[in-house]
Formats: sequence, structure tokens, C-alpha cells
Amino acid sequence: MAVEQKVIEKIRSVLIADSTIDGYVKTRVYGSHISSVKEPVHPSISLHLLPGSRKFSERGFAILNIQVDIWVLNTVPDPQGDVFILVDRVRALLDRQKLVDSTIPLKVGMSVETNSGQMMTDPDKSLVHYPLIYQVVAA
Amino acid sequence: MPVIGAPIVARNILRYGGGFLKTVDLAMKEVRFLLEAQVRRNISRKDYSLEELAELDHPFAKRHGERGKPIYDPYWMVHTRTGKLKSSVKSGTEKALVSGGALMASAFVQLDATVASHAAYVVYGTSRMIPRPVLTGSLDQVSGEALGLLKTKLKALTINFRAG
Repeated sequence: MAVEQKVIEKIRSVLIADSTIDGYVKTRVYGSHISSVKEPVHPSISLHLLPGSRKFSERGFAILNIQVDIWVLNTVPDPQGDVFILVDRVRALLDRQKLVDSTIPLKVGMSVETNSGQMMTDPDKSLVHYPLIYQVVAA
Repeated sequence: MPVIGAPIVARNILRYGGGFLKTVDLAMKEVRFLLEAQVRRNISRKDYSLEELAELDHPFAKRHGERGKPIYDPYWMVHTRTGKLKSSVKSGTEKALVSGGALMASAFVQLDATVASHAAYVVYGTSRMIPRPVLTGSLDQVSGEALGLLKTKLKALTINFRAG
């Protein structure tokens, strides 16, 4: 399995295992950008590998950029409040974290948030969307 | 990578005075212009008119998958319609400084959402349109050249900041 796939899989499993995130999105952490998911159900989180992944060491470590998008329906009582609860949890789980998984196997040297926001209303008006970007060093 | 004796190196840089940091600032300015030019190139495609994009079945629509229909290489390049996105490009540098044994310097290029309100939708995508991460992609394209530029500029300073 390519390191990119391993990282996406690991991030997905870390997010799904969190009880707060589970309370909102259940297992709906999609492994590709929401625009490519057939009939997605919201609220949800989608993961998207950005360009610029590259190996930088002989031990096989690579730098990856991952976009984590939070999608919440505009029809709930406090959509922006829900978004920020999910943003806080994603940050707590991914920002400046070492994610090691011997079962895949995967070593994540460090995962760091490099960019986030803005809060966006999707053009079809039914969704609120908040993106976060993480740089992950992994092998 | 940890530098052995970093605090002493940092102190030596400060003792040397403004010359070193000025050189870093000048180098970062060149990096800024390099990156800005690349971003502008990547958001200025004029290969297809709106009619032609419609004839191509809207290449960035969700039905064509996570990277859209391959009309550009790389896939995330953006075509010009009104020129607002180009007008929204802003760039700058932050003055180099040495703090806590580390040298910090930065250059940035951004798209100003107050000028082009659709910029974030283009870059991050929507529920119906793929993301086109033109800033990350442009940075990736020029990072090797930028690193080479910084190395060359700093090598030209023949001052030895050794710690031991």
C-alpha cells in the first residue's frame, strides 16, 4: 500500500474512533474529496490528498499535504457551532500528533496544521464547509 | 534537522549584525517574486472559453472524479474568466529574525477573498466541484528552485558562524 493511502486510512480511523466526531458523523469520514463521493450523507468529513507529496529521505519518509473538510447541513439549529466543535476535535487529534500504526504499518513523524478556514457556505446553500490543511511526514 | 550549538550560532549571527539578516530578507524577496509569478501563471489559463468548457462536459464537475477531467496538467490549473482571481493575488515577506536559537524568515503569496469572493471555492472545492489547490501546487513547483536560490545567496556570505 502506498504511503499516501496509509496516511488517509490512518487519519480516517483516528477520526472515526473519537466519540465526539462519532456523535456527529458516525463513520462518514470519506477517503476522497466530497465532490467525488456518490450521494454523500452529512454531516461528514472528507479527506483529500493535495499535490506536492514527495519523498525526502532514504528511509522512505515523505511529506504529504492532506485537506480535511468538514461538511454540516445548514438546516440544523447551529451549523457553524457544530462545525467548530468538529474543527476542535480534528485539531486535537491531528495537529502536532505522531500517528504510529504497526498494523498498516505506518510511521507518522509529525502531523501539523498549516492552514485552515474560512467558513464557507456551499453554493447549493444547503451545506456549511470548513477546510483544514495538514502537512504529514510519514513512512 | 537539529543544529549542534544552535544558540551560539544564533548569537554569532546577531553579533555579525544586520548584514546577514538583510541578505536573508533579500533572498526571501526573490523567493516571493518567484512564487507569485508561478501562481499568476497557474491561474491565467486561457485555453478554453466558457462555451468550450461546457462542451467538455464541465471538466471540474464531481461526475469526473477527484481530479476532474484531465484538460490541464497539472489538473489544478485555473482558467481566467473575469481576471478577478488574478487581481486578488497578494504577496509579501516577513523580516528575518533570530529567536531562541532559530532563524525565521518567510515569504507568502495569497488570494484575497475580499477581491475575489470565489477564490476559496476554487482552491478548496465545493460539494459539486473538485478542489484546485493552486497555491500549494505552485509552491511545490518552485520549491526546488527557491531552495537553490536561498542556498546560493547565503553561500555568498563567506562568514563562518561555527559554534565550536
